Amino acid sequence: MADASRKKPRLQGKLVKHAAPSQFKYSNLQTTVRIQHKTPYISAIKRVDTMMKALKGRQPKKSYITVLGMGATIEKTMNIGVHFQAQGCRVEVFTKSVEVLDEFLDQDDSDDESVLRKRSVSCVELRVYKPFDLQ
Amino acid sequence: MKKQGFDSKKYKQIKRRQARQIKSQTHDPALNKDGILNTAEFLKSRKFEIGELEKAQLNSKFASSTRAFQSLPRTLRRRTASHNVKRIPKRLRKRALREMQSSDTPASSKRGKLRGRELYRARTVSSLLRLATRLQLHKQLPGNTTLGRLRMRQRIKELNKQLKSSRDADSIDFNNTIGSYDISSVNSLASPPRGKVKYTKRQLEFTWLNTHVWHAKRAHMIKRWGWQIPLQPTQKCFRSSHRAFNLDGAVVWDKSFIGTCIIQGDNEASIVELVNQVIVGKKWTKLKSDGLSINTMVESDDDIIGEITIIAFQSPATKRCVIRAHPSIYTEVFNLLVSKRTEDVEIVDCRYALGSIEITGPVALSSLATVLKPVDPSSANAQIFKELCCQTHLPDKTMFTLMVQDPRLANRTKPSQRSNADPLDSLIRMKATRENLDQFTIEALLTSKGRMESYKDQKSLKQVQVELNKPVDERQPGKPIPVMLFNNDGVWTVLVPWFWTLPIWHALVHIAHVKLGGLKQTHQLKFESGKLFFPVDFPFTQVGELENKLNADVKREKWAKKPKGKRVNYDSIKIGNSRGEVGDPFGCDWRYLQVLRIALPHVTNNRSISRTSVWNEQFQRKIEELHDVYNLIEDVKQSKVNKLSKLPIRLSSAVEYPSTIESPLPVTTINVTTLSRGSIGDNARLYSIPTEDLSEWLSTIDSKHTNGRKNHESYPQCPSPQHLVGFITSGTYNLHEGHATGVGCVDSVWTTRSERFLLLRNVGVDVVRLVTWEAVDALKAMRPTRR
Repeated sequence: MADASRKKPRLQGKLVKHAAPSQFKYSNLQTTVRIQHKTPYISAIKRVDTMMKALKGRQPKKSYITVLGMGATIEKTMNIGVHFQAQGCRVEVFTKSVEVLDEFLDQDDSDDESVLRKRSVSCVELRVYKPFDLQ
Repeated sequence: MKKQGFDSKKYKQIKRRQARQIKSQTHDPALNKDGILNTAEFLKSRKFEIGELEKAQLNSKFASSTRAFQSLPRTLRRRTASHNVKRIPKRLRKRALREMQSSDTPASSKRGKLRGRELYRARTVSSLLRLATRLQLHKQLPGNTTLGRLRMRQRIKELNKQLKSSRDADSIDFNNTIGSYDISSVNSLASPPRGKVKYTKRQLEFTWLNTHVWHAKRAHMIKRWGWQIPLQPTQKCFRSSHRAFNLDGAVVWDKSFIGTCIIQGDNEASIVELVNQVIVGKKWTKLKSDGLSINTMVESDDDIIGEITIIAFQSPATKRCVIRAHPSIYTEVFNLLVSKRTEDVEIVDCRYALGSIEITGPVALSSLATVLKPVDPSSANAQIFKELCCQTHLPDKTMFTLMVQDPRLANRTKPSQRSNADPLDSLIRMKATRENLDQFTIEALLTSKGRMESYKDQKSLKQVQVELNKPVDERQPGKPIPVMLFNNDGVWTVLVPWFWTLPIWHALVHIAHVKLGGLKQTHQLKFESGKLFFPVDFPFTQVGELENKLNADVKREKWAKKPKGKRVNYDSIKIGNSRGEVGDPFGCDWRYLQVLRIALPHVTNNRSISRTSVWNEQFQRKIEELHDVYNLIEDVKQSKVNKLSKLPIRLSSAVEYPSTIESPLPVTTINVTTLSRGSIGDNARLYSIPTEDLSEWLSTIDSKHTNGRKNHESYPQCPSPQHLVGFITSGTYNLHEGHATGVGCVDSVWTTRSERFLLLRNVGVDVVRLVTWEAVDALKAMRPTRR
């Protein structure tokens, strides 16, 4: 858990949490899975499975599927990693932190004034490699 | 194809034979001389064979799909691709040509037919000849100048003089050769653009967009609200647009038909005063901060007109509010503003002066950045745009202003993110310094002079080509174009001078994964995020009511055309214990709902019928028993009741019913979701659950068969019409949610009972489904909610 002393104090006003900055890459669509709070565990596993089966002919060639989880979904992401490890896949785990934007709207909910602040969130990236019998 | 040494029939034969061959390893190296099996070798050869088998399956599958154009995806198929190789992508043309020669289809040849410039020239010559003979016959020129003896040159001179004088009569000062000019008007409505002479007659009633010709080839167009508007692309695109919105591309619309007007003046107080007079909800205390766009609704005399977007701009000299409204309400809003304005405020109609393009999806902003290249890349506003333009998601209401190059001449390379720049830092910096807002650009876009300046020497397609043929350093770049981009709930709107829409549009639709959208796609986008679509989901406005009636009429006509045996007989259909559809089966019958809900509380005797109809002294029907309510509804339907409210419903959170049907029923907008099964269609009826049936309905939620499957068979029957509380205005399968959802309105007074469930029944069906609902704040439905 985060150290309480390092936690930033809550500002006045309604908090709007913005999505983490991301850039679109077409080839990522077939090689990257982002785990959300509402993503069901089984769906994520099935999605990784199907992507893995289609890996061979992909351009640019990649030998693994990336699974990304942030904040509260780290646990679910790790569970997915464990599942694939048990299936005989090589799984690499990377930890990192992602910066996100918090917006504090003015008290009376007018859109006029708001304060922006950065916050750091832990993130985990799994690389699930194809098992040998599939290659 | 003869060069290859065999004809196409033979080629086909060989191809088929090859496809069906499966390679196998006949000489197996795994078994060595001593008869010992080498496992590694054995596995390797089996693996090879399995691979070959799979490959052969695929090969023979693809070999049997005979023609090249048949193997293309839907989006790449063209109408005459079987005859014309040019309609097939280049990589397949060779194959297509070969196939065409082998089959009986004759390839279309160019010879013998006049095309393009030659055809045009031939036509001109023939019409000129025809004209010349006619002139010779009549021996006169227009304008009653009989010039039998004049020579040809003199005739031409005379004609030119006449033409010139007629042109001078209503001349416009053009500063370019292609006829772009600024069409705005102060405190009065502007007249529509003239359009090309060839097409003027077709746009007398319904104005064309700049991109009309482009759209007409690719989309179904409708004539509504004084415009010809693309309804939806010709190609089916329900699923693909959903993906483009959310996942893998972008959808682009030409939204120039959305009207724009500008309130401007130097007195901030009178602008705020004017805005406060028309908007619904919380009033402004001061002018909103620079560049902030706000969605709100307009009202006049307590009647809601519709939704608008307001963007405020303040420079030391002038304060401005840009107002964007749907074309169905634009003139009403404009006239309202003009009637309420004070002397120090002027309202400029920029309906035909500012064009707009909307684009949404993960590649939306980067596509815009590909097309719109700043003239001065080192300026602060261009820098901040460069730092942020690669992001898939930026906070709502982000705005950029830019002076850009002509997109046809600009170097349209894809933007790339600098690795050292943090987009969040840029956003925080932008919030503090407001360097995204360049006052010069805003001034150039929002004034007639600035827009005219951007049209100066605007190049025609041919002139652009001439420039492109020159070396890069000798090109004349042309005047910069002022552009404004703002993010409204994930949808980027680009505001540009009217006659620059087409060049930008052409550049934009050439970017990969950018798809075309029409009105229906806007509806789909709003629906999938649970928001209201104007005007369909605004039945409490005049325009929404009209839309509902129009749609109902279309459905009624279609129904009436069917033979009796093949259409649903809505009058005798059995619903619950009664017969006949509730209200008008083709639309949402708000009048029925209003009379029903307002009259029901007056009923004292709910059970029995003790008497026939009774009238009071004012010849009004006495409402005491249940049948009186239905009789009153029947009276209203046959217009026997004179005193009726103008609109049957109004958006309000009132907690009590009005006393008579002279005032409208208060309604709340809601979003419904099915609990388990069932589809939701437009105009579906919403019922409250009768108290006596409540426990039975609740038990169906978890009801299961003995084998553990959910029980869908035993639902209680449909409640009687007196439990009707609302209608669904748009409902269908929601790809974003993965099940059916609907948007509609229900009786506000009923919502105060805070029941969790509703019953939903589609039109002409007896089956009722349990649904959950949540209120949608019609004002806030258009305000930021994160994806």
